[in-house]
Order: sequence, then C-alpha cells, then structure tokens
Amino acid sequence: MNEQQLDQAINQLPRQLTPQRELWPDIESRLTARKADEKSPLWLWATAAMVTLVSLIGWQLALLPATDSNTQAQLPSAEIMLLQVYEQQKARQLQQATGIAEGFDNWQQQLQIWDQAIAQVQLALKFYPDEPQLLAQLQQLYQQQLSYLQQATLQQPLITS
Amino acid sequence: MEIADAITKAQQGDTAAFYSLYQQFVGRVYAICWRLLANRQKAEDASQEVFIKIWQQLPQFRGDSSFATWLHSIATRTAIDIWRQEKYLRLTDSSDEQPELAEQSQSCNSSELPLEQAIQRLPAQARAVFVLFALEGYQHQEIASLLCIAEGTSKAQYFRARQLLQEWLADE
Repeated sequence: MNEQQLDQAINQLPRQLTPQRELWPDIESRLTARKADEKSPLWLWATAAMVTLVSLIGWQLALLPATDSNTQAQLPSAEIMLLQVYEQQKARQLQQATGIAEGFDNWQQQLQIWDQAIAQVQLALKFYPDEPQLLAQLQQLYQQQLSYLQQATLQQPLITS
Repeated sequence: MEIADAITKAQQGDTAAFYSLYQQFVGRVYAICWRLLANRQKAEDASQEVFIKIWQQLPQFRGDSSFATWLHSIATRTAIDIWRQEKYLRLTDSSDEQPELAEQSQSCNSSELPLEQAIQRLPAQARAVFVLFALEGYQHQEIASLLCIAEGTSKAQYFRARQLLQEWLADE
C-alpha cells in the first residue's frame, strides 16, 4: 500500500462507532448522585495543598536516610538533588496556580499516577543507587509531571471560588 | 431536540435533555476512546467517564467554542489520561514496544475495515499519535503537549505508524 492509498483508507474511516454495551444506564445512575458528591473549589485546593505536603514529607522520610552527622556531611545523591529541584518547582507551580484549566478536573488523580511510577523508579534506585538509566527515567517522569501540572493550572480558571 | 436547547436544559439539571446530547454524541466519543485505548471494555468505561465529566462541567460551558469541539476536547483528554495511566502502571517504554495484536480488535462495528484492525495493532504511543494526528486533526505540537512527549517524538511515531500500517496492509 502506498501513501496515497493509506490516506484514502484513513478518509474512509467512520467518524462514529457504536459501543456494544448500552452505556446510558450507568451514566444516568451517576448523574443523580452528582450533586451529593460536589465539593467546593476551596476544599479541592486545601486537599491539593495537603496531598503535596504529605507527599513531600513522605518522600523526604523515605529517601533521606536517618543518619549520623558523618553521612549528612556527604554530598547529596543525584536522586535527592533531582527530588529537591523538582519538588521545589512543583510546589511553586501549585502555589502560583489560580485555578484548574478546562478538562483537567482529575488532575490530582493524574499526578498520583506519576507519583506511583516515580515511587517504582525510586524503589529500583534503592537497589541500584545512582544508576544512570534509572536517574534519567526519574528525571523524565518529573519533567512530565511538571509539564502536565503546567497545563492543568492555566491562567484562566473555570473552577473558581 | 436542538443541541442549543438541550445544552441549556441540561445545564439546569435536566437529565432527559442530557440524554438527548448523549445520543447525538456517544458515537463520536466512543470512536475516540476505542481508537486510543484499543480495548472495548476500557473504551466503554472511558466513554461513560467522558459523559459524567461533561455533565459535571456543563454549567461552566459558556459557548465560547462549539459544543462538539468542547466535548471532543474532554473526550480526548479523558481517553489520554486513561491511556497514560495504563502506560505508566506498566512502566513500559513504548518506544521499545513491539507491535502486538490488540486484545479485542473485533469489538467495534467498523472492525471489518483492515485499516481499523491495523491501527489497533500499533504500539501504544504510535497508535495514540496516529489517531490524534491523522484522525482527530491535532497538530504535532498539541500532541506533544497532550502526551507529554517531545514534538520530534510525535513526528517520528507518526512516521513509524504510517510505515507499519502500509507494511501490514500491503500484506493483506
């Protein structure tokens, strides 16, 4: 198949597809429960701040070894330096955010997914400290998380207090 | 019911009006979810999630863009969020993935189309880029932002997807 034939095939694909399962009953049952689940934006921001704080403390407790003064005098590992740099940036972005952009209402859940992936890489780093590929992967995950956070906290909020 | 009328009523909490919107757009939403996720069950769940989000965010819809555009944006972001979740929970580097048969490629009503089947066989990142660029009309810069990848990676994945599709479809 050449380029032109592929383009033709693409143009022939239907714009709509029909799900096999009837989706409406489940949707409808959740619509009625919606109002009870609604929470104020202030509550959301308080939760976000708390989650960030707890994560930061948790990570520091997990990563910073309980050590004596000799160990503390050592240079910080690349992993801890990465953590500090990105946590500072993340905290700054959250602090400067004035609202959540359209389509990012589950941003906290999304950040948690990255946190899970980051935690797995950090676990691997415990076995292979300062392993370059793991550090690169950790850095990539941090950057992606920051990038997502930047998108999620755009200037014109739709959820305002 | 007219779309504008249905939107106004649904914004006021009228579920019948919202059902009318659902009927008009479920096919479009499901197509986006199914092509991005390559799995019937996940696509159906994602489609439901999209409509829940639309219901929740509808009071904020001011008509700055068309409703279809707004809905399309929510559907794409929701499907990508789920796609990303799948990707990171498996902690795979999709650039190294080998093409694999989708779990349930027979699960949609256009599955008889060879291209539709071939798209489902693409590696996850190449499939996402291909669907967003070739079928949903996003630019590489937008795709890069949506998928949290470099713009160059998006272009490379699109080129790779086209090559694989041409190769597979030529064999048939």
